[in-house]
Amino acid sequence: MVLKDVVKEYRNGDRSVKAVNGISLSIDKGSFVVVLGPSGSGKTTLLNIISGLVGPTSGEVRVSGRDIAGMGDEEATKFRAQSIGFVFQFFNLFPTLTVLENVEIGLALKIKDPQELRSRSLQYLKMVGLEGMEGKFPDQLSGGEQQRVSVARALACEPELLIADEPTGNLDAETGETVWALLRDLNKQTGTTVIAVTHWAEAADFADRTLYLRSGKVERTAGPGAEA
Amino acid sequence: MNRYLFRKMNRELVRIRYRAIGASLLILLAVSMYVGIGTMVPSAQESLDQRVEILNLSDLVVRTTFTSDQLVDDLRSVPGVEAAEGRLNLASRVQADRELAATLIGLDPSAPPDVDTLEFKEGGWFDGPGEVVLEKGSADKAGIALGDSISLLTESGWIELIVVGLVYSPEFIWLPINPQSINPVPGNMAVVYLPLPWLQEAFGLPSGTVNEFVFLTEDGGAEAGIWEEMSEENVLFVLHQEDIYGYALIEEDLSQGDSMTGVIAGLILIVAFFVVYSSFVRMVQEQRREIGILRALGYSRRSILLSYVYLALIVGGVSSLIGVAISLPIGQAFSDYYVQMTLNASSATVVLEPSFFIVGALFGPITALVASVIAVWGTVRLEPEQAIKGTGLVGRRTKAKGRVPKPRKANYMLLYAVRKMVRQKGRTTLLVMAVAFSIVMGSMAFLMVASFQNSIVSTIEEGERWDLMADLAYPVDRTTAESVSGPGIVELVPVARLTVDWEDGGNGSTVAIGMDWGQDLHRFSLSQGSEPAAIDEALVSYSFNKETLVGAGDELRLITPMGEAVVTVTGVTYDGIGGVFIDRSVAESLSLGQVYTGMYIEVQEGELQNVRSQLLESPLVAEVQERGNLESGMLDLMSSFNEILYIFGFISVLISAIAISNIVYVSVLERRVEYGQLRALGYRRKEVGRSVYLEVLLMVSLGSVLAAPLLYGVMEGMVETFRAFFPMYRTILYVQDWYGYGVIVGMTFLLGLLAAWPATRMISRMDVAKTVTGGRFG
Repeated sequence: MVLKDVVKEYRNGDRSVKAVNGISLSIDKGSFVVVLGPSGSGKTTLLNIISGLVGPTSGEVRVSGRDIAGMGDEEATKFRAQSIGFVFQFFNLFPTLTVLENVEIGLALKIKDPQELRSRSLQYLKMVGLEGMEGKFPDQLSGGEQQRVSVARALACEPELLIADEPTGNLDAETGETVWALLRDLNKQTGTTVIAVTHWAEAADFADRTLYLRSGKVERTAGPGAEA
Repeated sequence: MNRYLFRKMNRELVRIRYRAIGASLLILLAVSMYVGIGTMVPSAQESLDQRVEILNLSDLVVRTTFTSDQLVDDLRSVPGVEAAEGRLNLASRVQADRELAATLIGLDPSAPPDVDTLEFKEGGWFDGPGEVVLEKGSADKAGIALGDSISLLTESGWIELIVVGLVYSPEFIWLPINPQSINPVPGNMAVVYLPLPWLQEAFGLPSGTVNEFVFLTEDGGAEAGIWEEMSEENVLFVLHQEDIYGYALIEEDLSQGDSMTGVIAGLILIVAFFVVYSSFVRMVQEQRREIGILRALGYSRRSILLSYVYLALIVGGVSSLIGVAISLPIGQAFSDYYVQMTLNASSATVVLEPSFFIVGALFGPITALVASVIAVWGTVRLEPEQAIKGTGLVGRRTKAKGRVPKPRKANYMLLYAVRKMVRQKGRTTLLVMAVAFSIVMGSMAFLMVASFQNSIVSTIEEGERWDLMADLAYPVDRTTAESVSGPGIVELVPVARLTVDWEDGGNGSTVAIGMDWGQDLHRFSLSQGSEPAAIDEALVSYSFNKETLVGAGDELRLITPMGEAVVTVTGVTYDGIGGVFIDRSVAESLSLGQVYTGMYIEVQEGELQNVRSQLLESPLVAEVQERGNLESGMLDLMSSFNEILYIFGFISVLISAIAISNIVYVSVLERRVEYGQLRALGYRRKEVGRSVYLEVLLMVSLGSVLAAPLLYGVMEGMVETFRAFFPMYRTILYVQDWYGYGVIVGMTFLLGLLAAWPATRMISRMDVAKTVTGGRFG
């Protein structure tokens, strides 16, 4: 994945804010990248640009050779369905669907065969340690378990890139650590590239590479391949 | 409520002004319609009373055999008699574009009458012979205008006359109805006013001959004196004011209208409540985060609730008061329409029924209050964090299920929509009920008409075996009635019609119908008891039974000035042509024999038109109806309501669409994050939008299904009410009659889908990144 001079500017009346201000970087396939930085440093905006949820104001974003920046809404939607998995701070599970259905609803966009859909979903639920919880509803699970469901949902699609936005921001420290360990394990098992944004500095311990953002720029990097 | 909340809500009111105006307009519309409809009947009643007073509708009508007009002077001097007129009332026929049965009323040409005063609408009083004045309602219906010439059948043949005046008369306050007709059809009789001497001469009667006396009397007391003066006269029949046909029908119509408008007005308020409630839920839901912040800041649930109550009272109170103010011209317009239609006159001042006025004035504040409390409570009871993040809004916690169905091809959007509906039972129920009520309201009118029409058709097909029904020009004895028989007639059943006073525990007066018990041309359909066989046995009509509680097994004393009889009631019939049905010999004994006003006739096959022409040649016959005419005439009367029904149906569906729009919008608003997540997962705008439409379709489908038994129940529940004024009414519904329900359901689906558009637009414009990340950037 390659970003070249990416800028994202938000306007608010006469004021304009550059949430991302000329970031260039490349991320190797299968790596685990953690983005750290204070509030307002542009972490979430960077993730949104990489995942195709928002387009950059200028610059180039390429994932597996495809230009994300120039994609229209339809194309970006298709791209997300095929290539991106999301894990959010507030889990964003569907409260009216069971654990299994929460995983299947995303995967159904990729896999049409019901048997395959089921076995893949169960496989990933097992992988995140939720075997036997398939029939439960989200509100019957703990916060950590809910986040595991959202990880299983994201990974079951076998995306090229897993985007995690403050995945443990809504969890206690102990549970948060187990989620980071889980993400790291799955990254190793599946070879999925993971980019995670967090305030928790210790997350860097799980990363292949850590980006430190400040005022929309990469202030420094740590780990192999650091070049920004 | 502290001053900051007070200030906040005032500014909130300004910020949401368009939404508030929308909710206010709904309340205003509902209140004004409710009070407007509620004032319609009392205003019409007031107008009727005024018309009766101003136009001096007679308190008493006495028909005699031909007598001298000298009697009038004696009658005027009877204590309690305020005014009396003697006149000649004859039956004949007139020809204009078509031939009509006619009532000819001969009046003193020197001055218009003091009793049953004529109100000139066009032209003036006759100047000389050859001029006539016509009742305007029947003239309009027959296409006769001022200055036209008409032909009148007299004893010496057809005579041409010029119409010099068109008038309204209180006697024919509705359209003129031949009171002697077996099955009276409004407007099918011309009323012709002529100079008395000319009429006497034209019919070969001695000068000064009259046969009818009309009276204005002081409250009670005058009748005994009148009967004393008329003791030597042959009285044919007596009519009290309440029995004058058109007047009695209007009074009955108003009394039924009162209960009907009450039901309609009530339904308007119920549906309006659903809509106002959904509007408030939407308003509050959009401010969920703010409520959460207020809670987080430490504001109590009560103070937040009170701030919204304040807002609701402003919106509901102001709109209700304006609604009540607007209801005055609306009520005026409704009663104008109603009075114009029934009385051919302008309505009197709007009469405000206190109960409607109070309910109307309180509806806005109470509805807005209840709606806002329910809507706000749902949010303030959440923890601040839940309110801010939008969690905790999906309904009750799920009970453990732990069941995983076998893998199968599933539509996850459908699954999502259905699950949401199941989890949000309260809101689903509210919307489904709102849709169902609207469909019931909209289609009820159509099914009612179908039921009326089917009742008419089946009653006529089952009960009426005659081919022709003849109305006689004047009451005659049996031999004279049967003298019209001729070639082609298989059977002829003379029918007697007379007004009688009755007594058992209570008393009153009603129309008695007399015929042979053995006849088979007119069959009775009984709601209780059995058909009479003996001379002293009788039937009573369903309406009479409901009104008086006289039923099978009761004894009834029938009284006329000419005699009395005691009969035993054996059953109750749905027949509406009279109140009491007696054997012909009893009818004859109560009326000196001259009591037959019509006849049922069976004719040989292929002879229908010949017999009809032959009957009309007789001066004794005023009008002849075929069985098909009777059916189509009654059906025509029903179909005149169609336009009103269409408007009513459309308004119902529109209200339903507003409720759908609000509730779906709120539902989508609450689940913005979920919709954002679906978009983030890769579901396209179209697919997500389709899930909203799918929800609407499911809700409307459920509403439609629920509406069907509800509708049937309402229809069945109203049978007794309708039978009170239309005894043959039954809910006979065939598959094809449900087309109205189909039309309304179709319209609800269509408008429901349109109503979902604002919600899908919101999804379409949604900033996915902002939604799924909770609005953070940076």
